[in-house]
Amino acid sequence: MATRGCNECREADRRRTTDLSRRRFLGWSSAALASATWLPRVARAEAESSDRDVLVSIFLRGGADGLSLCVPHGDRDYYRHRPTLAVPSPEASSVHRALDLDGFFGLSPALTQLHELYRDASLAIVHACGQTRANRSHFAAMHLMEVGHATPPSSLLTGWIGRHLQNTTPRSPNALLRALGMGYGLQRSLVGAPRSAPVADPESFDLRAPAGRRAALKESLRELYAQTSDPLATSMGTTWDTVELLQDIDFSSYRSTSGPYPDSELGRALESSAALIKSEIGIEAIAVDTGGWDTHDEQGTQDGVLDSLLKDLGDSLGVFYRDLAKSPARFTVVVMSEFGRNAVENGSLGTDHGYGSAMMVLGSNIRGGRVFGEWPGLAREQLFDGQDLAVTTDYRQVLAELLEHRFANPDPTAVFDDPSFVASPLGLV
Amino acid sequence: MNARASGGAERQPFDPQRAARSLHRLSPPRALTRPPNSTARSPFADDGRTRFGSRVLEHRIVQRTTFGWSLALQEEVERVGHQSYLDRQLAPETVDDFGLEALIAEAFPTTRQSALELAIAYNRDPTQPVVELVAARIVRALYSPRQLLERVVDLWTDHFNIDLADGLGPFLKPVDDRTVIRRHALGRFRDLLGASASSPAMLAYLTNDSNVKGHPNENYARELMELHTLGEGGGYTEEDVKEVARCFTGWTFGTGENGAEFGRHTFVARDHDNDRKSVLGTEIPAGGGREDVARVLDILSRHPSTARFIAEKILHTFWGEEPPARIVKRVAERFATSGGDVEACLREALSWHLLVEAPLKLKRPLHYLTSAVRGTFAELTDFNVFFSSLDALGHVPFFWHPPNGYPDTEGYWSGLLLPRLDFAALAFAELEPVLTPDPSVFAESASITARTRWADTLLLFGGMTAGTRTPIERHAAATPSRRLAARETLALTLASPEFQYY
Repeated sequence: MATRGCNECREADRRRTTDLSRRRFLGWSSAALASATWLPRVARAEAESSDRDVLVSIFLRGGADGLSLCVPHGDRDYYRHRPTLAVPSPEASSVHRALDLDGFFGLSPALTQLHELYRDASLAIVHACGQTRANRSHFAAMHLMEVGHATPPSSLLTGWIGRHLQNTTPRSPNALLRALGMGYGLQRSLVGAPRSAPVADPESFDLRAPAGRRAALKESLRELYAQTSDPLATSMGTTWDTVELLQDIDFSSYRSTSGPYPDSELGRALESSAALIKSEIGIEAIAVDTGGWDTHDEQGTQDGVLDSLLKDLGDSLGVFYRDLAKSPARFTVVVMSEFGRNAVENGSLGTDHGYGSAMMVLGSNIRGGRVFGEWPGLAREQLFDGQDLAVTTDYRQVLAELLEHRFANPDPTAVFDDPSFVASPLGLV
Repeated sequence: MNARASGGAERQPFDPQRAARSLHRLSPPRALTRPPNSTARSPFADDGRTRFGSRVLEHRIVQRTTFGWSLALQEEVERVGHQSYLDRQLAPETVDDFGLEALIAEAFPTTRQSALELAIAYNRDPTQPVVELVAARIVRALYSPRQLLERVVDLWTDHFNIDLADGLGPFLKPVDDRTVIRRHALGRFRDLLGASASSPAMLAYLTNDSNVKGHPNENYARELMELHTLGEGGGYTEEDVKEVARCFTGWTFGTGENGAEFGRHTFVARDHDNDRKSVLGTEIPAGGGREDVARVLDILSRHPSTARFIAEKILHTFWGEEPPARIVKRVAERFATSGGDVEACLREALSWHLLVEAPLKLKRPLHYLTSAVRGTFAELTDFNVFFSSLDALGHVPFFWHPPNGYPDTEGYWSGLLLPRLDFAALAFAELEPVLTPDPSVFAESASITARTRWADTLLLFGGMTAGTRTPIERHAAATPSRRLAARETLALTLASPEFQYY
C-alpha cells in the first residue's frame, strides 16, 4: 500500500492518453458520441472483454410480497387466503387486474413496463424462490442472503458478489473501480470485493475544500492515508480513485435514451448506474437498495403503499433496461428480497413475514418470458408452516447460473462456500 | 421492522439548513467550552518524546465515555481521579450542567411538549419537532458535561430504535426520547424496557396499534425478542413470537378516535386476546388482561439470553467490537445479580483493567464531528456544514429506519470517509470557517515542528504517528502563509487516520 499513490497516478496518466486515442476508434456511432456530452472526458478502462455482463443487483429491503409482484391467479387458494389483498385475475373486470404472463401467473398491474419486457423475453421470474431455511428476521435473512450462506450462524463475513469478484480477474485489467454500492455503507453482498466503494451520490463525489486549497489538501490527505498500514488506507485508496473516476463523468447532463427515469431514489440510482455502465470505466457490479417493502399493515396492494412501490420498481427498471439496451453495454439485473410475506393476510390489511418469494432477472442475454420454478401450491397443507409460500428453488441456483454464464465465473459453487450446495441450472441462460 | 415509512410520501426529509437555524438559537455556556488554562502541559518532553505515564488511563476513560476527548477534560479527570470522575458521571444529576438543559428547553420548546400538543401545532408541517430534537441531541453531545449519560442515551436510542421522520414519529419520538430513553438510561433495564414497550412512538413504529385479537400483528413481538431482549438465537421459537404477539393484542395508544388522548399509551380490553398463552415455556394464564404484557416483560428481562445480549451490547459500545466471552460473562453476571441494573453493568464494563486492553474503535460520524469541535474548543460557526456533513455521512440522529439502530462497526462506517475529510478541510478555512477555535489554540507564531506537536497534543494527546506527522509538516512548509499553515495543520490532524479512532 505504501508506494501505491504515485506510481499508480503516473500509470493512470499514461492510460488516460492511450485511452483517449483508443476511444476514437471505438465502434460507436459518431452521432451517439457527439450527443453524449456527459461521457467521461477520457475513459480509463482498457477495452472491455466481452465475455461477461455488468451485474446490477437490486435488493428490496423489508421482505417484498412476491404474491403481489407475481400473482398466481390460477391458484384458487390465493384468493381464499387474501380476501381483501389479492390482485384480481386478468379476466376480472377490475382496473386493478393482473397482467397475464402464462395463464397461471400474472404481474401486478403496477408493473406494465416489466410486462412488456417479459413479452420481449428480457425478463424472467423465478417464483417460490428463497433460502433453503426459513428465517423470519429481516436482519438475519438479509445477512445470510447477501453473504450467500444457507444456514446461520454464518462464519462468512464477505458477500457473494465480493467473493465472486475476488475469484475472477477484472473485466478490464486496469479498472480503478470494480464494484460500487449506491448508499452510505457498503452493502453486505459487496463486502470483500476488491476495488469497491459505497457512493451515496455519484454526482458530487469529491473533496469539498476552499477554492484554491483543494489540490494541495487533497495531495496531503492522500499521503496521510497512503503511508499508513491502517485498515482505512485501502478504503481511502479506493475513494480517491473513485473521486477521479466519477469526476470525469458528467452525471448532471446525462440524458436517458428511453425517456425520463422516475423521480425517486431508485430511479435516480438506476440513472446514475446507467451513466456508469455506459461510460465503460470497467465497473462490474453495482448494488442498489430500495426500502419500504415491510408491509405489515395497510399494504395497499391495489392503490396504496405496495402499489406505488411496485410502480416505482417497474418504471425504474423499465426505463433502465431500455436505456441500456440501446447502448452496446452488456448487463444483467437481479432483483431479490430477504423473504416473501405470509400467504394469508393479517388483520391489519397487511401481511407478516413469510418465506418463499419471487426473484426477477432482466437482461438481453437471458431466456426470459417464462416463470421458472416449481409451484408448490397454496392449499393449507402445501404451505410452509401452514402459512407461507414454500421454497422450491434455492435463490443461490439463480445466482450460480448467472455467475457462470453471464458473469464469467468458472466455479460459481465456490462462491457459496457450502459443500451441500450442488448447482442445478434452471435454464435461465 | 416498520411498514409506515414505506412509500416515502409520509417521510420527512432531513433539512440541514433548518436544523442549522435551530441550532443558531443556542449558544452554549462559556464554562462548557473553555479551553485549558495553559498550553504548557504538553505531554512531550523537551526532546519531543512523549511522556504519558499513568495519564494513558485517564485518556482512555475520557475517550470511551464522551463524544470527544479534550485536553481540558483530560486535566479535570487527572485532577479529580478517574474513579471519582466515573462515579459522578454515573450519577449525572450530581454534575452541574451550567444551565444547559434550561437553555435547550428554551431554544427547542418542542422537545418538552406532549404528543397531542405537537400533533396540533405541527400537523401540517412536522419539520419543527424533527429538527429541534436532532439539534437538541447534537447540542447535548457537544456540550453536556454529563457526557457518559449522553453516550448511554446514544446506545439505547439505537437499541430501541425509532425513526423520527417516519409516520407519527415527529409527534411521538420527542416524548419517547424524554420519558423513555433519557429518563431510564442509567436505571434498571426492566424499567427501560417497560417504558419502551408502552411508548406510543415504539408501538406506532412497530405497528402494534394494529395488533388485535384474532388478527395478531407480530411485528413488535418479534423485534422485542430479537432486538430488545433475547437477541437472535436467544432461544425463542416462531411459536413464542406468535404467543408474545397475542399477549400484546390491544396494547396501543390513543388516536383520538379510540377514547384515549392522542399519543398516550392505552390498553383496549376488547381487542385483547384473553386466552391462555405460553411464552418460553412459562404459562400465562387466561384472563390476564393488561397484566399479560408485564408478565412477558418479566420473563424476557430475567432470561439469561437477555443478560448476555445486553452485556454484549454495552461492551460493544464501551469496550469494542467482539468482546471476549469471559468479559461478556462478567458483565452478564453483573446484569443478573444486580437485577438488570444498567449502572452496575457500566461500572463493570468501564473498569480500568478492562479498558486498558480494549481495542481501538472507529468513531461513528456524529462522534467524529463532535470530537472535532470538542477537541479544538471551537465555536461552531457554520452549522450548515456540520449538519450537511452528518447527512452526507448517513448518521443524522433518529433517522435510521430499520429497528436495529445505526450500526456501530468499523466495517459499516469505514467505507465512507470522504465526508469526514470534507469536514476537516472546511473546518478552519480562512473564509467562513466551520469552526472558530479559541485564539489560544492557534499556535501561529511557532515553528512548524512546534505547531504540529501542538496539534498532536490538542487532538491526539501525543498519539500522532510519523506517517501522519511527515505529510503534515511537509504540507505546512509548502503553504504560503503561516496563518493558513496553522489552520491547515489542525485540519489535517482532524483528517488523520488517528483521529478517526478512539
